[in-house]
Amino acid sequence: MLIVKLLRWLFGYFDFEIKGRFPERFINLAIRNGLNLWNMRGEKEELHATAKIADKKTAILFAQKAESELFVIKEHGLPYLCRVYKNRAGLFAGLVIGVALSCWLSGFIWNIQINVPPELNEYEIRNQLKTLGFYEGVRYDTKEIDNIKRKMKLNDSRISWISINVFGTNAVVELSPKISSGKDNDNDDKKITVSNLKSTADGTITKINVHNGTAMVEVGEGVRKGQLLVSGIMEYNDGTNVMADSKGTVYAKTCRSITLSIPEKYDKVTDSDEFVCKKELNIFGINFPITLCGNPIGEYYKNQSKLKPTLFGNDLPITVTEEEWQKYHIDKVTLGKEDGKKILNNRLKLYETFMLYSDKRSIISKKTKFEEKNNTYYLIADYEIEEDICEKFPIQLKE
Amino acid sequence: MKRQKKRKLSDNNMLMDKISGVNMNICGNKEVIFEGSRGIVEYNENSIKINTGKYIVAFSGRGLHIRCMNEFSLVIAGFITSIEYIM
Repeated sequence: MLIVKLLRWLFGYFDFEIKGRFPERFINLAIRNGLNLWNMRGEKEELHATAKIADKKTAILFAQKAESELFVIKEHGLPYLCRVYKNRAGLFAGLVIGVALSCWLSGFIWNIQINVPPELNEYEIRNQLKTLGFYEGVRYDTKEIDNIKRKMKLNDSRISWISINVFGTNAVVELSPKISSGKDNDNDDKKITVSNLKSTADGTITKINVHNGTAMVEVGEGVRKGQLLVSGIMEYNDGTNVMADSKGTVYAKTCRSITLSIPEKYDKVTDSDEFVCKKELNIFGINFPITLCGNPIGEYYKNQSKLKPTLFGNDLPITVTEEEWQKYHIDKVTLGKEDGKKILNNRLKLYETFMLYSDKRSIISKKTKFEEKNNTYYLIADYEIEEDICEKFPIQLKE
Repeated sequence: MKRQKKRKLSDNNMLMDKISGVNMNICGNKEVIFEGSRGIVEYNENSIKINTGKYIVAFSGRGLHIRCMNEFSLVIAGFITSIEYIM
């Protein structure tokens, strides 16, 4: 029934009324001559029915034959609409342009969704794809996409496989990172690793704990940076030598010095209350300004945020970019002696926390000296530290 | 083409004459499938009269209408209260 209705709408139909003495005669004439009538409702000397627009002339002729008069009540369907809007060329042109534009734009990729594993970075992948010519707003080409996939695999050794699936104007990029087969490790196992332990700093040995190898220094002995502490070659009483992977810890007292400085006068950047908000709408790769203001001139820094609206879980090819231009001013600050000392002490605490404290290191003593020289405050800190100064130097030998 | 059509129509008429039968399929009092029509004599919502050649079949009722029809058959729908043969 739906098909029938659709066909009737496409070909056009009209409702009419027949008034006269013998409307039944009209029905007989119509049916005998193959004129299709539907929705027939008969009243006294009246008949309401519907027929195809193409049969209109024939219907009028039959009505005359039946000594009746035919009145068209209403016309429906596509031919009727075309006739009504015949003088409105702009509407038709708009429709044609709209359809053409829709067809043309659907040939482009307007949204790229990249599903990256944690080993890879989405921003990097997006940039790599962009350099290869795959970005939002590019024309869809199957051959080109195959080339891009191949080039991506060749360019980035971290990628094991890549797939680019295009659904309409959306492209979904799936990636998988390369997983090491473990062959390199197997080769490493075949190699005999012989290593020595060497000193990383100058100092005096306080404690030696050798698990494997031969200790080359003694407690209380002074060592220099790079000096051999534990040798990987062990000599037995019978004169035979065995090469081994040296293991152990050698603690030594070392000295370390650090100088922190801050100028007495410096520039301090402070945000002011004034800021400019600029919005831009990007549709199909074209930018349209929402707010009517240009880039402000003066001391400003910019914060940018992008909003991508979604519809039914799909990103739309629309991006709203918001730029907040914050005005700042630079103040010349003169630092007092006490303030300078306070700032430098805080910095020193941070240094100690992040650089000196660890499981294999402890501070024995600390001497600090604060001084002012050439409009600059200095804080010189000398540390005496006990730390593990061993560093492994492997010697690779093949069988 | 017209000649052929006319010939076809006359063949159909002859066939109907030979069969010369009126066949009615009555579904309750709401619908009648009528075969063997030669034309409509009266058509309004209270009465539909159909010429069969030998006699006229009159359907009376309320809200009567022809749902669909062709040259020899039609479907009458509505609330039928009586069927009458007029010789």
